[in-house]
Amino acid sequence: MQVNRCSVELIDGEVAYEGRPTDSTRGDSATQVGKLRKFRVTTTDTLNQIFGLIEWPDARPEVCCIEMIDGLEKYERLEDAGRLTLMPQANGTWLADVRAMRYNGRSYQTLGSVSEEELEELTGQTPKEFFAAIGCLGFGTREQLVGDDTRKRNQLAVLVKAGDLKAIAGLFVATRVMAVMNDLGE
Amino acid sequence: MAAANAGPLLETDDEISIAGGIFYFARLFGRELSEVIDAHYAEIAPDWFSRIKQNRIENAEPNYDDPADVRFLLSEAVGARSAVGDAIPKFDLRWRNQADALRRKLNNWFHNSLEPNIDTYLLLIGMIRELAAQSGLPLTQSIVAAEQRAKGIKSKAYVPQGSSPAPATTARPALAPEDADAAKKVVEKVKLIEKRPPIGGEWTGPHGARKIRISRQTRDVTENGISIRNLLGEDPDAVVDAWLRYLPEHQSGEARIADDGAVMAFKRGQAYLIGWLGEEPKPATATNGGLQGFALPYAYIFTGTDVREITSSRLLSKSAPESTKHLIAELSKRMTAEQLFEATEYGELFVTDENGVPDVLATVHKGVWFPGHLPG
Repeated sequence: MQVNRCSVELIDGEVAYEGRPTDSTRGDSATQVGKLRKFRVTTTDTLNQIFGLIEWPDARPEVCCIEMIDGLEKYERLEDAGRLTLMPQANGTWLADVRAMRYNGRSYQTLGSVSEEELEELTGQTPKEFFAAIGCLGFGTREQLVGDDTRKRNQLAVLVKAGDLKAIAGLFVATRVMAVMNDLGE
Repeated sequence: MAAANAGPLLETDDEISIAGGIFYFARLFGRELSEVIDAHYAEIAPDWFSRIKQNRIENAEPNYDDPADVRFLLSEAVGARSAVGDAIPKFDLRWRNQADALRRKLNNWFHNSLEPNIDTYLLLIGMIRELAAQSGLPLTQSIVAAEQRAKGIKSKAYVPQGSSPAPATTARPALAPEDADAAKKVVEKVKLIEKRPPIGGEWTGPHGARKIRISRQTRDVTENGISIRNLLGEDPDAVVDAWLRYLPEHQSGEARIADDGAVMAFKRGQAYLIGWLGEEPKPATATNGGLQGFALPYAYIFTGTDVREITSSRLLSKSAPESTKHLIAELSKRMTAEQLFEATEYGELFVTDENGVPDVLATVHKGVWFPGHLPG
């Protein structure tokens, strides 16, 4: 799969992954053993980095960096920051907020809101076209997608099929890797 | 005679089609002009071309072997003493002024100073169309169609036919061998530029395995933490300054070196050439002309003490990030006040003579030039 200047290779197989989930909504931050499926991202500026989707037994699924193999130093930020948490829904789908790595006035990038215009620049397509192409079930605000009426109802988000690695990897690469590549927010 | 009037229509904006199309219409325009001149002088001066040739020899002017050479005909039409204008239908002052502008642009084109892109195509084709239409030349119909197609391609309104065999409604001529050869030479220059871009230009070759770090703080270049200043030639400080000029500021000084010594940094995922380690390779000989690059879409005037960009009227001394004193002094030796000149993406500042032959006055980097005009 190609996401703008990034090539994404979904790696076959699933391995056990022992770690501490980011999601602490259940109040339990103890180590768990989840299931890991990996994908490799290579870019036109020499990045070679492995990320993975971890499905925890008792926490929300998430995407994080597994191994930084080669690339510019700025991508090392993704070793610790930019995790993507997925929110399982009652109908079996997963909801993911569309936020991107950006400078936000700091000297380093953190996750922040991203406009549709910025998404178009990151993906090289309109967001609607891009998210449909990678297999997302829907793109819009949380309110539009799942009827959210909290203060986060205007947050841009996507709905994906549970465990759809292609859609999840595509979202992650556009909003994390491409955002770091383009120095979003600088 | 729709088929006879049909010229090549672009399918895409690839360089070979664009260059071929420009050469085709330039030659066709010359041929049709020479035919109307032949017809005009058939009775009274059928040897008009020989007479002009002789006259040019006597006046030590450049000569041409082909009466249909468009540059020859335009040069004669513009000349005050030539009778060529009398033979051109609806020739007037406007025709003459436009012919002069077209002659200059075609001279640049034939000397490979203009990039074969859709803007150049539309510019040249449009200028030819104006003159052809005023004189009612047969090529008008086909050149209007070619211009409309090019505009459609530029605006993405035209979708290429692809490989599906569409029924041909009109016969389209293949390019003549001389047009195909000329187009090939322009494209060769494009390929040379891709292979060895200007400093600050996009690098499309291999990235190279050697990783270096250029430090703004120590003005040093290190590889695996070890200084390689001793490899930077006689003036390492100047090399470091030159590299830093093109290195994206927010990045940590990481760069790569390719096998041929090309040093590159990355910006928004794209590799850019920032300089060379060791001796810079000699510029590849530009095909059929002395410029390494193509002319930028700007024109400049040397004021005598400064340089002014014509469209914006900005002065170089107030625009360039670095001091331009030495450059102005250099230009003063070669230019007169109010003289026009152009630049290429390689920073070659040049003037062209009456025949479009370029003369490079100086070579500049982006630090001493108008921001945004040179790559990087």
